[in-house]
Amino acid sequence: MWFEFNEEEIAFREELKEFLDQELPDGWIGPNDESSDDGWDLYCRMRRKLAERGWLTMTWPKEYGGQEASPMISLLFAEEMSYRRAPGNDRFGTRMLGPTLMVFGTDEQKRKYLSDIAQGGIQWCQGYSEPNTGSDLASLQTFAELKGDEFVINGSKIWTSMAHRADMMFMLVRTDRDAERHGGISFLLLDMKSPGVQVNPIVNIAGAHSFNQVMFDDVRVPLENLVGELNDGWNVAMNLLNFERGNIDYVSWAQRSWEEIRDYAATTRRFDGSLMIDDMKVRRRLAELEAEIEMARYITYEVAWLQSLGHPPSTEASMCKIAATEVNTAVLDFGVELLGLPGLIDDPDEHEDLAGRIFKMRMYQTSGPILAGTNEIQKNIIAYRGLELPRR
Amino acid sequence: MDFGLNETQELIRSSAADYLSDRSPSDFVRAMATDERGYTDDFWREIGELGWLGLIVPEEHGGSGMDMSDMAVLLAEWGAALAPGPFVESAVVSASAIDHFGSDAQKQEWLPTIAMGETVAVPSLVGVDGSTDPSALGVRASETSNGWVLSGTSRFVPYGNSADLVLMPAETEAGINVFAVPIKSAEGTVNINRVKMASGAPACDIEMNEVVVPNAAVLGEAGGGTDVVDHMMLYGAAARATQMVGAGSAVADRTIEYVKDRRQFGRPIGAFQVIQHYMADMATKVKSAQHLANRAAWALSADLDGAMAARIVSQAKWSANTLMHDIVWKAHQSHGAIGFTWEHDLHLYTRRVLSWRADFGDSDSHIENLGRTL
Ligand SMILES: Cc1cc2nc3c(=O)[nH]c(=O)nc-3n(C[C@H](O)[C@H](O)[C@H](O)COP(=O)(O)OP(=O)(O)OC[C@H]3O[C@@H](n4cnc5c(N)ncnc54)[C@H](O)[C@@H]3O)c2cc1C
Repeated sequence: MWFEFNEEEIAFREELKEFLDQELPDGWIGPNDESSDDGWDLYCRMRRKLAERGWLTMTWPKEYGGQEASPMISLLFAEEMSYRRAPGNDRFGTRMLGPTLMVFGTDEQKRKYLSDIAQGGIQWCQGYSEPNTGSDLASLQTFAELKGDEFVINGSKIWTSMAHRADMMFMLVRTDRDAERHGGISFLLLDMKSPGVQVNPIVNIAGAHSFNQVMFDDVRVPLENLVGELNDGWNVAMNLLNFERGNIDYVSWAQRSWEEIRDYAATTRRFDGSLMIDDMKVRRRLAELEAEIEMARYITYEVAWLQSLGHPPSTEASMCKIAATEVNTAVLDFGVELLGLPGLIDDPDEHEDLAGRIFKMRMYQTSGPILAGTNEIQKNIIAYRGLELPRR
Repeated sequence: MDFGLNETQELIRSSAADYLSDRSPSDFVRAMATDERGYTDDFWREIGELGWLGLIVPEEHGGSGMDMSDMAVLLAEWGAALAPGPFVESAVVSASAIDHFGSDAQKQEWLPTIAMGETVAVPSLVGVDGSTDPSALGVRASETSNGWVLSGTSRFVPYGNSADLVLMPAETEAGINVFAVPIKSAEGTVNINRVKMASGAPACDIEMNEVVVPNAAVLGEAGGGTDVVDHMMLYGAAARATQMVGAGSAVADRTIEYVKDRRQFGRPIGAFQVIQHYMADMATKVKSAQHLANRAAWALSADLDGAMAARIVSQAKWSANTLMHDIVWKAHQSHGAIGFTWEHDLHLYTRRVLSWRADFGDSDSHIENLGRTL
């Protein structure tokens, strides 16, 4: 057992830190309004610069322009990026679709998309969920009818993050209504500019436009955009899920918020002149949360370690999703309460101050335990698959 | 023991539920959350006409002379509907403080108009450091030949930008005084800055420079302001607790409806045991906090020993804070992505429940109150 990073890993982290110091705006504390065009411009600029360094695709095999970086280095990258709340770490293209195409894509698809993804020049979005299809993904109904060498898509996707910014969508559609539910699904690539695609914004509880409903009205997609076999999309999608495990982002976000709260407590005086942090209750709770963050962090590190040994993680990935998203909201809950009335200010003009944004951050992070497989579904996975408990 | 509503209370409950569902639907709640003042004159006049603003004001001063238990019934509905405006502040906290501590002249001047909705009265109880420590005063008062001169800042005054009367504690040479300051017509310089809050309810920093009020503006004994503040915190905490439980109960009801309706894996999600347990938890928490909140309101109506009543109120506010917090997050989790949208009403509740936790004593301060008096 050994609980330190090796020299190569530490050197990489230093390089990344320097890069971020240079590239992020001075005093960067994270985006104020992610839905703004300014926010998107910065995202795109950063995405390209990260791509230039090869970092977005560093885990990719050399033959696709990657560096075959270890899962640990890749984790360090995500950890630092999220800690800095740095934009531009596109995962739809580089972490989800790219590796999927390497396994299932045709030569033509690989040629057409992989280098674009690697160069950070294209934004993908993920079209899985539908109004009646959330946790039960296999129940999806958006239908793609194969007519000659084209699919004709009708239906809608919902909660599609970044659809309003995306150039392309990878999506799951039903291609056979008669097949057993997992059997009639296909994985398609869609150009968002296709006629019949309509993106309707959805504003979230933090007041930002980050996801959308996407409507399809006789949208035509060429057959060559089918990934994997017809009606084998479930298999393709499940494989994709194996690439996107680990939730270090939430650990980093929790860590950063925790530090901001600690610093606030260490510099804010109460009426009686004492610093907030001199209050034993405050110290105690901060200490507990720190330990909770470390617990979540080390399950996440274990996932990367398992991957580096070539073992696909299973229940560990579910465990870290739960631990990381829960500690992240717990830290913010504590902060909102600790700050008192100032913690209840919700004003974009006060974004610089923790007091002006902590409530919004809390609202935002409500999504953590819900998205990418709800925490309840993760627990089902741990219980059934990991612990082999009976289903009934 | 009697956990039931009497006839009058049943009438209050049903008429409040009917009126508010008609008059304070979510469109109104949403519109008021971005409104500069946070409520409308019409709405205020109407609830005055309904007798709600004077519910606990004695009959001789133009009210209905009911007690806090009756008020609690109304507050639960008020909370469930997320009705906007300084109802707790004016009709409960200020009205009861003036009734309790006011001179005859003060009662005659303020209580009838509070009851009619012509005077909107609010207390200033947030510490100048933004804490819920009401003794952290930012305003000083000095006595002169023609009354008192107030200077300093009072922070996060609820609805301070529309209030007519602010019950303002201030430090004097001889202890704390609470002044009834007619803020709109006060002589001197008054700056009112609205802060944008998560709940949508206006909270205002009020800066005063040499504001002159007469001797008759002192509420209660000179130097005895701490008693007035304690009274306002007590009534505020009990009222907020019942309002919060009302809101939490509405969240629980709506979530239980939702999980019966929403289907995944070929069945309602309410058929999954984890969701069933969430719902069972919510229902249990609503009931538990409800009892303590109603008991707190009762404690203020019955002639309980003051220290005993304070303990009962602290238990109620702490339990409302803690349990309603759990309820809103469980509700979000049970709704999935739909509850993460602005369009869905759930976050209207979340924002208010979380905000109300900080009012009239946060969880820590109530636990400390209890701990001190074990
Ligand atoms: C911010 C955000 C961004 C998103 N981005 C995308 C995106 O880019 N692309 C995309 O396709 N989707 C996206 N989603 C959708 C996300 O994948 C779904 O929200 C998620 O799968 C849950 O589905 P649901 O919201 O419909 O909840 P539901 O599935 O309706 O679940 C509601 C509740 O029931 C519980 N439940 C359901 N089934 C079971 C069960 N079998 N056992 C126990 N409990 C159960 C859930 O845990 C939850 O508590 C996003 C969601 C959010 C919040």
